Amino acid sequence: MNLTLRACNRFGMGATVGEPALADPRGWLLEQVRPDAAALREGPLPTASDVGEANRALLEAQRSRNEEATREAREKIRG
Amino acid sequence: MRARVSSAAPFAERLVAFWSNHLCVSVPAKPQIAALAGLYERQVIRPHLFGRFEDMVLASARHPAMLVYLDNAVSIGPNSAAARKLARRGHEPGLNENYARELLELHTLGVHGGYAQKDVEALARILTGWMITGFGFADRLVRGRDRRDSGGSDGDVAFAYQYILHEPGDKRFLGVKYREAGEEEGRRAITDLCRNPSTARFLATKLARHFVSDEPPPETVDRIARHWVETDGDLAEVSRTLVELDESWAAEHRKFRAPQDWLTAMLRAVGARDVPEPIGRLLQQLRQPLWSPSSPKGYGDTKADWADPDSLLNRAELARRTADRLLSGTRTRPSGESVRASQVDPTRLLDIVDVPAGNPLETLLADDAIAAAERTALVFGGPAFQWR
Repeated sequence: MNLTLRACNRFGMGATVGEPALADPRGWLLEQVRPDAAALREGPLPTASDVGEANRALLEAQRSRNEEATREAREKIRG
Repeated sequence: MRARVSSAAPFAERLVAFWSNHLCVSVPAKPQIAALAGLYERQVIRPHLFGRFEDMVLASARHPAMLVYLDNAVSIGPNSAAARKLARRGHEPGLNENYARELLELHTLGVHGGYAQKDVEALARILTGWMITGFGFADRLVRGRDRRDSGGSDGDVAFAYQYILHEPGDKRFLGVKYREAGEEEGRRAITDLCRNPSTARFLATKLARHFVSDEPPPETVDRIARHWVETDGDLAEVSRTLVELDESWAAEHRKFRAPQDWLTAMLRAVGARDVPEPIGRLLQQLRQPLWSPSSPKGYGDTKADWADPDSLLNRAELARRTADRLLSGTRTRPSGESVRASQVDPTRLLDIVDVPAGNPLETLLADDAIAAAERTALVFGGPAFQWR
């Protein structure tokens, strides 16, 4: 059985064509168990008032039934 | 979704998705949650991914997204100072048990975890006063601060403990007396819940179902639960156990890919580094939009939840469209070299799915008379790729 595939598909989010086989599939997974493994690198967190502002924009767009503005507000919120 | 597609630590990302779904909030449930769901995952799930379970649950209990989603932010102790004030104005405010109920049933003990309706009520009383500022709920009610208050400031969306809403007096919860201690009562109750053996069992079952199979062997669940109890729910230890289990690697067990997993796997397969523009719409079509389960139970985690005939047809159709789209973009090799995605040779897709040698797919994929996008779609829409 292909352990690289198992590690990438079962535990990971899916294997990639052309990636070399893992020498130590279990070790590769265990190495990911560290506090910063899932830290997001992009940008600082929005502040509470950013959230409040984004939320007000969304509500406003929904109230005025402006579909495009609603979609834009949603996109903005979800980053 | 971007993190799931491009992460170099995809096991950690799978765990983020798992815990995010376990302690889910849902965007369509209430308008305020749209603005908070992303923040919730970043502040509650990611920082505690390999910490203690109780810290994750505590962070969840105190996050504005959860306080709004399950209504703890509108729960008022029936004998609290605020309730008496409101009663004089002719309102009938009350205890809201939603969060307390789901905390017991879905987040910790599980429905058979050994609690009764009176415990739900007691927990709701214990958690009164756990509130937020900034959305105008309590702001209208609370003028000025009590010396026992904590957190929050005017105008910001943040956790705030507000004594005026807290149900006074001792409470009896799961057979234990919780002395009146304001905000501290809730911390104690949540810590105790997270260390309860029923919680270990409930979470071990869910984890085994996610990483081993829809019907995990009882010994597997036992082993995870034992380790959970021994380490007081240390999620780093528990995550390592999952990797070390032979069952997680056994070929006889497999898991049907939920829609988000399936879409992510397609993108990763061809080395896409980003999500295509209409990802939200695609996920909607597949009935698994981000952070939007239809109940606090979260999205289902078994084949039966996702493998109906309609959904499978839908996947075949989406596979075709996605393959078209993907093959017209570019991808980045592990070396950093950027190549047109169309250079992903369809025959190589056999390397990333578990199909036995001699499968008719081999002949089809090698057939240059069929467009590369079509051959790619055959793999993505085909049976083997639906499993992980």
